Amino acid sequence: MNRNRRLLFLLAGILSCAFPLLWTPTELTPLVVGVGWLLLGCLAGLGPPLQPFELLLLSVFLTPGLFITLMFHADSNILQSYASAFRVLLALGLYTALTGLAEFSKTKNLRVLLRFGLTLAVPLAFVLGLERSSLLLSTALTAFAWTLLLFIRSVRTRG
Amino acid sequence: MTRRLLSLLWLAWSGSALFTQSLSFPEGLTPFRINRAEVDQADSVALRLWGESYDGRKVSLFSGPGIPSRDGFLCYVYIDDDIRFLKGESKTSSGNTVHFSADLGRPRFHIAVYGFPGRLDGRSPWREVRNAEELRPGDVYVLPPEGDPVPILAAGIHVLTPGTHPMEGPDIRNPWRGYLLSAADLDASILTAVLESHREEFIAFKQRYRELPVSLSFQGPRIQRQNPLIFPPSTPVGIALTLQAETFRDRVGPLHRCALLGFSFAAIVAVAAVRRWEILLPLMGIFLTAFVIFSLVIPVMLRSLTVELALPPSQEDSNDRSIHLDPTADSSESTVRYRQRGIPTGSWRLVYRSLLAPGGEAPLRLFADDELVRFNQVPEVHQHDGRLLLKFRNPLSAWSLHEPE
Repeated sequence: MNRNRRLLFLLAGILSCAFPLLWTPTELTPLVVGVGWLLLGCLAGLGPPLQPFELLLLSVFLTPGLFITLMFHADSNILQSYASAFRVLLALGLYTALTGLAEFSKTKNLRVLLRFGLTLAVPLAFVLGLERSSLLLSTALTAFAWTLLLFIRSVRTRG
Repeated sequence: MTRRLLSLLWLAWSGSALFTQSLSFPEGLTPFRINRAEVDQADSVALRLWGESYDGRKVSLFSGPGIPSRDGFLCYVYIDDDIRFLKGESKTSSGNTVHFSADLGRPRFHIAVYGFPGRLDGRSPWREVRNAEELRPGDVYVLPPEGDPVPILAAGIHVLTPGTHPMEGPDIRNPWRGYLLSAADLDASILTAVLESHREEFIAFKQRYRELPVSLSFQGPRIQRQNPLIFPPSTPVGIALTLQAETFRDRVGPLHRCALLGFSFAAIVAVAAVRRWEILLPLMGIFLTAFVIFSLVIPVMLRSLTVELALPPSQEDSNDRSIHLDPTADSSESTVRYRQRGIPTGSWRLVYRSLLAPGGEAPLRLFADDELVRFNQVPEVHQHDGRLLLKFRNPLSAWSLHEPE
């Protein structure tokens, strides 16, 4: 993990912790909170695609702040909060897998374009359906993207 | 063959008829009240009621198995005057689902009359009642000459009585007091004429009580504290919302705050100091596990705010309507109470409450004493593990008007 990425993770972690503690009591919905954290995760993961251990580290860093915000600012109970947090982390996993797939494109410009496009597209997909979909579907989608990524990588390595 | 088929059809129809049921409201169905409903069914494992508003909005009103009673099941629903239909479904242990619905109609504005000799013939807005306890402010009590009108008038109920009285008509000093009206005789036609002659006044009086929480205004209320709060909107609602923002400024409880800060501090130090991810990742995993266990163990705290305001003696007397709120001692640390200083006994009180609970669940018993209460949203009554809970989103605010004790 390079220094810039470490700094980005630290910044994301501080933001994730500070937000629920400093936010004044205005109404938030679980969807807004989820999209906010997903965008934060996507922005922290901008640049070269996240490695699996980096994704895990970022997920662990973001989870407590997300959970507290869902529970206290979006009126979710404990189980709902953890379920929503899990959905956000799955979407973040999907984003990481898709950015990994985008790396197989031939030109650098297209790669950069795809990274930025996915940073917007995945949160948009979250708003349009992933947030309401079942945990099973979200898990299956993310698992499929990761399997595809690992398969193509292994094929390329052999080739 | 045909006979057998017909027998089978008859059997199936009879079986389905066994599951028909009814939904009844033994104490009536009133807007702005937590109403008791009875479901006449022997077996119900899941009961769900919802309301449909005039604009087609679907509002969940009750969910849970229902409370077993002698004739079936009990449940509670809170409705406001925006709910047009009440619909529901009940699932039995055998897997059958039964649907039912009730058309609530538009709530009728009526003035209840107690003690009327004869019949009022259903003339709007008058409605006869058989029990004096059913009378509410703005209603009419036909009192025999030997009765004492003073406590009835103080309760905001108009009194119609024979003979002449010095206190007759509205009280200029106290607009919340009922009107004392005299009639030549307790004769049905005479009383009807008196009622009809004061019809508009009575409607306006009752309407004033109904709109009380939002229509009243106060000037610059003050609280005994070092940094006085400023209440830009001078309505009771504005005052209460300002106090609510002060009380619920910090929505995250202290223990959860400590847990989050502890995790974040440890995680930031670990990410900044540990270079090898083989060490960093398990370390972060341990921190997260500790946080998750702690978050599951910490009890969730319900916080509430109560503000009691007395009605001003007169709306016309606008020279000094400033009120002074004193924080009052309360046994529970999570409850903040403010009471207007020197509320005289025998005066009307406007009680404002606001509740905040992570997960949006509060016990129903908090509103057991309030017969009519206006919530800022329609909360769902939810039965869970034998307890009745109100489910709501964000702070649940309520306004209720209380008669003199």
